[in-house]
Amino acid sequence: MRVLFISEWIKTTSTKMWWILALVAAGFTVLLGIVPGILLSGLDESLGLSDPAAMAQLWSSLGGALVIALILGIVAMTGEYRHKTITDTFLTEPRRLHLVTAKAAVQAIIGIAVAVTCVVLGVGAALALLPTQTHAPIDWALVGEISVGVLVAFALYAVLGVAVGALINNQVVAIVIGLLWVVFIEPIVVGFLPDVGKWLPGGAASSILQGTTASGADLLSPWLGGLLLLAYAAVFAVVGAQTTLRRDIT
Amino acid sequence: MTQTAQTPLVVSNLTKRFGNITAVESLSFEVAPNRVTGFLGPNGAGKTTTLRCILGLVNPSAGDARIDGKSYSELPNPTAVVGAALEATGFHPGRNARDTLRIRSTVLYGSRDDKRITELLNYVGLGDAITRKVGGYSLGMRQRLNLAMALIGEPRMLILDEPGNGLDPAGIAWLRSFMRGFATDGRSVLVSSHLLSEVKQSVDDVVILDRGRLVAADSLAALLDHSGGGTVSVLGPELDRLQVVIAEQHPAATCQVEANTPSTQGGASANARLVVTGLSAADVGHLAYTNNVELHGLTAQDPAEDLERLFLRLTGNGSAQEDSQ
Repeated sequence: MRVLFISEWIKTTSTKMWWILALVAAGFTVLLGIVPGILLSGLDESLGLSDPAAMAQLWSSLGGALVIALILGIVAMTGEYRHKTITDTFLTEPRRLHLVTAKAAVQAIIGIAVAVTCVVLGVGAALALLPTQTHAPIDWALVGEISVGVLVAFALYAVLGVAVGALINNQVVAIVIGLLWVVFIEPIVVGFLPDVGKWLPGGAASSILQGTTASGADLLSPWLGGLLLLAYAAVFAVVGAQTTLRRDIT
Repeated sequence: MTQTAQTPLVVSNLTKRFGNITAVESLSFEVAPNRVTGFLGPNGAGKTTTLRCILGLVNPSAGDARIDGKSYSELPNPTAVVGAALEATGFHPGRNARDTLRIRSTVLYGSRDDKRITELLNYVGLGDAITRKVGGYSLGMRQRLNLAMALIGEPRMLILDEPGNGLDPAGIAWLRSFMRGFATDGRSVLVSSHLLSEVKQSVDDVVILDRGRLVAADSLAALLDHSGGGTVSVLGPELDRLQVVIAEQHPAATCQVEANTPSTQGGASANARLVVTGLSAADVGHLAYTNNVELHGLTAQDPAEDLERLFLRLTGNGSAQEDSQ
């Protein structure tokens, strides 16, 4: 298992995709989260950062690119089919579940690397722009807590992405379904049925991202949320390894 | 080499259906150690499907394939036992050759083993392209990388699917001598091709497949004997009489009159040739001598040409198949 992990590590780090996604995620975080969050606060009193709650809201946007972690995992798994490397991969390791597990472990670490990129560049951008506005003091304990949550959530979403890819081999289909789910379907469920929504992957991720900062929202505890995400990933991975990944590779 | 005596690969009653289409039907054959086995058949005969079944990539509908008595997925480190270079194997275009091999060498040896990788890439003729991205490789270079992937585990058996595709004549010559050299010390090669001419100089045994069914499995020498012991082409003015003599004394032999060149001067018989199957040139010459038949030409045909005819006859679609190539 250890050697399979190293093999998968080489597989990911020998191509550009992971750092392209890291840059996309960081760009997303900075340009669509931190920068407008700070600059718009100067235009509208209600967005004013002098309120500590608004500052907490700003810091929580450090996890705004979570969906990229899901795509990272999906691409890692479905890319094998897209580039037809899956033949050589299964010749090297015929045990499907071993392969998915090693891939998920590697993508968890890559997911953390993507999260670190988002947090570092996001906080850096905030430190550069905050002096232009009046704002409540920076609560570094809160920033640290949110950052840890972002790292964990990205790692778990990357694992979930690998599992989704094991279930749906077609890269385009898997990404489209992943995006539709995260951007469209899940927010609707969360909005109308919060009691159901908190048990969905997005709800579980929110529990990790918001942690103790959750303002009255009905969420699971971060630990339970993390375990729930792992459970989703485990179910998808096991089912995928037994069904989709067992299909004929012609 | 502790298992040299064992039959490396046994395929038993292998059947594969894709929906209503039966790609392979009740196929059984063996690959023997120290032999290069040619796996032959026209396009669409089921060769690739069979190879992929052997390697656990395609699930057989019935039957199985055993390597050293185990299915592929039961082998502890399969690429150290069987090296496979399949058609339509992909490489990530953005990854270089060394990283591509590292992915497998890590699993095999627990480390990258860059020295082994460099040696191997030099050996297959990719020494200048070790750190070049595979996306820029030619088809021939991909074939070489495919072979390197098969060899990195130092396996005892090689399964090669149309390895000559995309190789230049020098590359094909290299491949032939490589396969010959590999199938020693208990090792074996199973090599598929739709062109008998491509592998005939390098195979010991042949397994011929047509529309999913086995049509012949034998040593190349036995198959040639079986095909009638050669073909002799005879020229002369008394071919009719020779034909009668042969029919009397060697009823097993067959004779066929073929127009040798377009007849421009009338006399068809002067330009015709008699093709005798089942007799050697010496046999025919002796018959002519003892029966006072005048001969103008007596040529034994290239055995490979016989084999090509046999192949086309066995696979039952002679001219159509030739046209498609």
